[in-house]
Amino acid sequence: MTERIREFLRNRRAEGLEGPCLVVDLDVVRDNYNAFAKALPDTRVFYAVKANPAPEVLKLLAGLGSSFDTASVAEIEMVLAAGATPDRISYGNTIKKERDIARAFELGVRLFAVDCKAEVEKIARAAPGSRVFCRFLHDCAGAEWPLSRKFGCEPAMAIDVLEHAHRLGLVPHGVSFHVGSQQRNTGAWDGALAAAAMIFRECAERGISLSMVNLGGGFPTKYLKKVPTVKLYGNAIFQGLRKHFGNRIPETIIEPGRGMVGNAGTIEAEVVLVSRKSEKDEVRWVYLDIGKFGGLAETIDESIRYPIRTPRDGDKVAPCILAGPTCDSVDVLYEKNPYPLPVSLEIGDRVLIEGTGAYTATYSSVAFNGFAPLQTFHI
Amino acid sequence: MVTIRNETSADVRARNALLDLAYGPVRFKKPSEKLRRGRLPADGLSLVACDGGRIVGTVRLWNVDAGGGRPALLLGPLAVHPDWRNRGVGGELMRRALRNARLTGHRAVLLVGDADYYGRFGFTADKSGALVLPGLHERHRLLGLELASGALDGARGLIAASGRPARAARPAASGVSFHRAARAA
Repeated sequence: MTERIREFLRNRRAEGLEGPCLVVDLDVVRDNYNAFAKALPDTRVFYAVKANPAPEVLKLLAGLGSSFDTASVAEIEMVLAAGATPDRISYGNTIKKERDIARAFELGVRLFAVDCKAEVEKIARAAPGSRVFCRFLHDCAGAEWPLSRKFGCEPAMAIDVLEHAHRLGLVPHGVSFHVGSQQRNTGAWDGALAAAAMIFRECAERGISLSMVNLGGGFPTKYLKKVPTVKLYGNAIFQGLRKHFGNRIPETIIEPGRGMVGNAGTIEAEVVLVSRKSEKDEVRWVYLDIGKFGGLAETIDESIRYPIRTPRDGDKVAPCILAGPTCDSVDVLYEKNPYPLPVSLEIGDRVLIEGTGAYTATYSSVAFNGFAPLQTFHI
Repeated sequence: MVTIRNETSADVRARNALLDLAYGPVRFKKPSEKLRRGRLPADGLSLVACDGGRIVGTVRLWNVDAGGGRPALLLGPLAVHPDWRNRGVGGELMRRALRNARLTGHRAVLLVGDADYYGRFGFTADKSGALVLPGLHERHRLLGLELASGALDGARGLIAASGRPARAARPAASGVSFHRAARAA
C-alpha cells in the first residue's frame, strides 16, 4: 500500500465516512505501464479493460499510449470516451453477438478475436475486411486460476478457422493464447509459442501469412507468493520467440489486466464479528463487511489469497475462517485454508486487503442483502 | 488497415513492381544496390506492408561488413506505394525492421538517406563519416544507427557485402523456415 492511499484513508476516516471502499493509486498504474513498456519495448500493450474499467484508469493509460483489449461494446465506448482511437482497440472476446460486432465496426474497431468458424462468419458479415486473430487452447499448468476450455480451440483447428477467415475476405492476422491468470512459471510461454509457430507454418503452407502473436495476459501482480518481475517475463518470452520463430519474429502484443492494476488498489474493510462455533473451537470465525458479493469474488475456490493488514499486526496470530457479511452460506472467503490473523483482533477494527485493484469493484453486486456496491476512489 | 509481416516468396513479384513504381529503373544504379546484387537479404529482415491482400510497402536489410570485419546491416530500399503515403506506413516498416534486427542480435544498421527523415529513428552521420560506400558521392547521406551501444565506435574503411549468395533456384526473398510455403504458393 502506498503513502497516498494511507493518507486518503486517514482523511476519509477523519470525515467520518464509512463502509468498505477500494482506493486505487494511479501512480502505481503508471509505474506498471512503464515497467511493461520497458521490459517488452517491442510489444504493444493492450490493457485488459475488464480488470478495472474506471474512467480514471482508462484515461491515464490512453494518455500513456496504451492500446485496449475489450470484452463488449460498452467497454469499447468507455475506451473511446477516455480518448483512445479505435485503431488502438481489440474486441478480444471470442463470444460476441453479431449486432455488437456491427456496432463495434461502426465505431471504427477493426481487430477481432475468434475461436471457431461460426464467429468468423459473423465478423465477415458484420465487419467485412477486418483483421481477426484466432485464440487457441493451451494447457496452462502453473497458473493459480486455470481458464479451462471455455475460450480457444485446439491448435489444429485454429489453422482451419484462419483459413476460413481468409476465404471470407477477412485478414487472418495471427493467434492468441492465454497461459492462465497469475502465471508464475515463466516457462509456461514456451509451449504456447511452439504451438503458435506451428500454426504460422501450417498457414504459410496454405498461402496465408500471419503476422501477429497475442501473448495474452496472465502477468501476475503481487499477492502473497513472490512472483517473477516483469523483466524476467520479458526475457522468457523473447527467448521463446527466438527459439520457435527463428529470425522471422512476428509482431507481438500483450494484454495485462491484473498485472497493470492489481497491486495499485487496497480495500479497507471493517471487522463486523469475531466468534467461535463451540467453546472448544481452535479456529475463530472473522466476519468482515466485505465478502464474495461485495467485490472479493476471486476468492472463489480460495484461488486468490489477498494479503491482509490489521492494526494489530505484530501480535501473536492464530488461524481464522474469514467470511463476508451477507446471509448466504457461500459467502466465505477462506475456510479450507484458514487465514492467520492476530488473536487480539476485535470487532470494529479496520483491516486493509491489498492487491485488490483488479477484478473487485465491477464484481460487487448491485444490492445483494441491501449492501451497496463497493465504493471506489482512484487517486 | 495496414499490417506488417515477413515477406514470402509469393510477394516477390508485387514487391518488385512496387519498387519499380517508387524508384523507376534508377534503382538498379544506386551504389547500395551493388552491395545487394547476387545476395540474399539478412534472414528474417525482409518485411512487407499489406492492405488487405495488396503489398503497399517494403523494406529489406542486408548483411554487410562495415570495415575491418565489423558486422552490420545495410537498410534499403524502403518504399511505400504512392496511394498509401503520409499514413505512417514507412515509419511502421522502419520500427518493425529495426526491432526485428535488434531482437535477432544485430548490432548496427547503416543506410543511405536523408538525415531529416531517418533522424527520427535514431540514425545519424556521427559515426559513419569514416566509412566508405563504393560509388556513393554524397558521403553525408551515409547514416548509422547502433542497436548495441558502441557498435560503430571507430568504424572506418570500406563497406562490403557479406550476405549469403543468392542461388538462381532459390527465391531471393524467402526465409529459411518457410520454404514449404514457397512450393505451395
